[in-house]
Amino acid sequence: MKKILLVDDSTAIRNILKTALFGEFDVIEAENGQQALDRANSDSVDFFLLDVNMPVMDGISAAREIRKLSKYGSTPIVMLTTESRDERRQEGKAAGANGWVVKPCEPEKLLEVIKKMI
Amino acid sequence: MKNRMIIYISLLVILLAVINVVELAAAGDTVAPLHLYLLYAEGVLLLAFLVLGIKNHVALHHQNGKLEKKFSELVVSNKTLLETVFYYFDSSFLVMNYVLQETNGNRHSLQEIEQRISDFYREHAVHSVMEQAANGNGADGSILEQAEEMMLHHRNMASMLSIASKKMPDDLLERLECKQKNESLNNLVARVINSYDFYSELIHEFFNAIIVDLAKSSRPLSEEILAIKEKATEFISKITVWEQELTNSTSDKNFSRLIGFYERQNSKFGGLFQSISDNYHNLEKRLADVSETVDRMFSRSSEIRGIAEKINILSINASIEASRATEAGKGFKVIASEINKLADMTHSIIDDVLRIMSDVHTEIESTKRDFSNEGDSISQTIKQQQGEFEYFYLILTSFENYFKGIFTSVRDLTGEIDVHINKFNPLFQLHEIAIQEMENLNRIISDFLHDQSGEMNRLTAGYELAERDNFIKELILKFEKSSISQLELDVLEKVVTHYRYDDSVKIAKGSTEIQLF
Repeated sequence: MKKILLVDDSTAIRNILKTALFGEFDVIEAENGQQALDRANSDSVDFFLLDVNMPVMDGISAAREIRKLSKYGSTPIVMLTTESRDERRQEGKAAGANGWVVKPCEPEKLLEVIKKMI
Repeated sequence: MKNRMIIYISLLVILLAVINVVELAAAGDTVAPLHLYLLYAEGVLLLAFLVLGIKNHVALHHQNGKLEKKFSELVVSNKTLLETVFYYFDSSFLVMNYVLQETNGNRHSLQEIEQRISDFYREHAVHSVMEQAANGNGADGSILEQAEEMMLHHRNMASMLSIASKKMPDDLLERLECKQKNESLNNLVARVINSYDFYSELIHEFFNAIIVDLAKSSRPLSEEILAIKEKATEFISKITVWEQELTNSTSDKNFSRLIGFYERQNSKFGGLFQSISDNYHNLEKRLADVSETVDRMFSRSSEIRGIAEKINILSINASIEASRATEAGKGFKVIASEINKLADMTHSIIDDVLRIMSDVHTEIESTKRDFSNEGDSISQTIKQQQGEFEYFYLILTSFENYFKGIFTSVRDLTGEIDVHINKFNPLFQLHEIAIQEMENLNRIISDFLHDQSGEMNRLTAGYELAERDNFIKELILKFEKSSISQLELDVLEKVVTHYRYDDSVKIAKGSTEIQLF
């Protein structure tokens, strides 16, 4: 089962998304960008799902740092956020993200996107 | 008239000088009567001068009567206007300034009026001049110059005020309205400022309370849903394994296989039981055969016994015959005796055999009866076993159908659960986002209240309508920069539409829900 690193500072959002991904993927979690980097270093992740606005380290910075790790050069990174502004999307893209999903989203659509990219 | 006045005054001055000279010349002499006459004359002349001066002054008034009257009328007619203007210039000077800046088209003329009025007060004390004239001061002619200058100035003023008065009422009403609005707004802002800290704290706490309540309601629910989903998935997983075990043709627990197995077993058992039954029957038959054989043997043994008895009789006869033969018959006698013994022995053996055969026969008969009874019992048992096997087979078949129904129901049910959980999923996301939005809004409002406290104070000092739009636009742009979600941007867009800033303020719009780069 492919491993997804789900990063969001909200426990509830993580639970909700885990519910959507449950059974399809092995979901591991992190509360912020720094924790995500630590997990990425210590584990082998097949897909990153990052929130944008988080304490300690935001999602866009985390995506940038993950891309610097050689083993995650081509691992899919999707930003999952309430932000819908185009300039932020472009920031995410420049940081190395492969996609931008605006919350709230349909679980089926999210699964479809992940399956398409993984 | 002016020249005539000068001549009169000159003549009177000359005459007064002559009188004084004469009076001084006679001062040392006793010319008292003359001196008295001269003093009377001087008094008369002075009186005449005063009368003439007053007369001239009155004439001056008459001469300028029309102008004065016009001025007075003008002053009276504009008195209310002037008073109003002065009052509002004094009481709402700031308002006027703002309005003047705002209404550029009128600014120049109105500022000029304001300046003129100020100059009027400062440089031309109309009442003072009038009083001087009334008191007879300025009789040297300066009063005329002052009066003329004043009149000229008043004419200009009157002209200016006349022009201004034509447009003043409308402007004034507008300015009054502006001033009232400004005062109301200032009062309102002042009240807001006075309770600023209170409201700030209240708003902050209000939002915090909502956030906490929302978080309390959504987080346990989301955890609960996750737990339900996990349990449902675990249940589905177990059911699926079970179903696979029961339906997979290679599985030991496969129903069809099990049923087939029992079917084969049933068939085998059927054959076995039939074989047992047949064997029983064979055995029974053989027992009957043995019994018959024994019977036959039994009947033949009687014949043997008869033979033995005949041999015995024969041996007795032989012995008798041997006795008759004396010496020669001794050997024969021995043989006869031995034959006799043999006959006895044969007889004894035959008796034994017959007894044994009798016992065997009895035993066989008993066994035959037992077999017969047992055979019935076995047949019954076999029938019963077959019935039980068939019954078990039926049960298995019905169980298979029953489980198939359960699996279908479970699949439908878990599918329904999945669909419902998936339906709830965005709702929970939205709930959580609402909390984040509230937190964000709370932060924005707190920051705004903090940042704008100085601005609010400034507003209490004076509020410019022209600046209001800029301020609100600035505020909207600030919110727009702080906003992160489409929901917030939608709200701002509504505000922009409400204030009709569509042309000057553009709210950014988000793109599609999912975008792959």
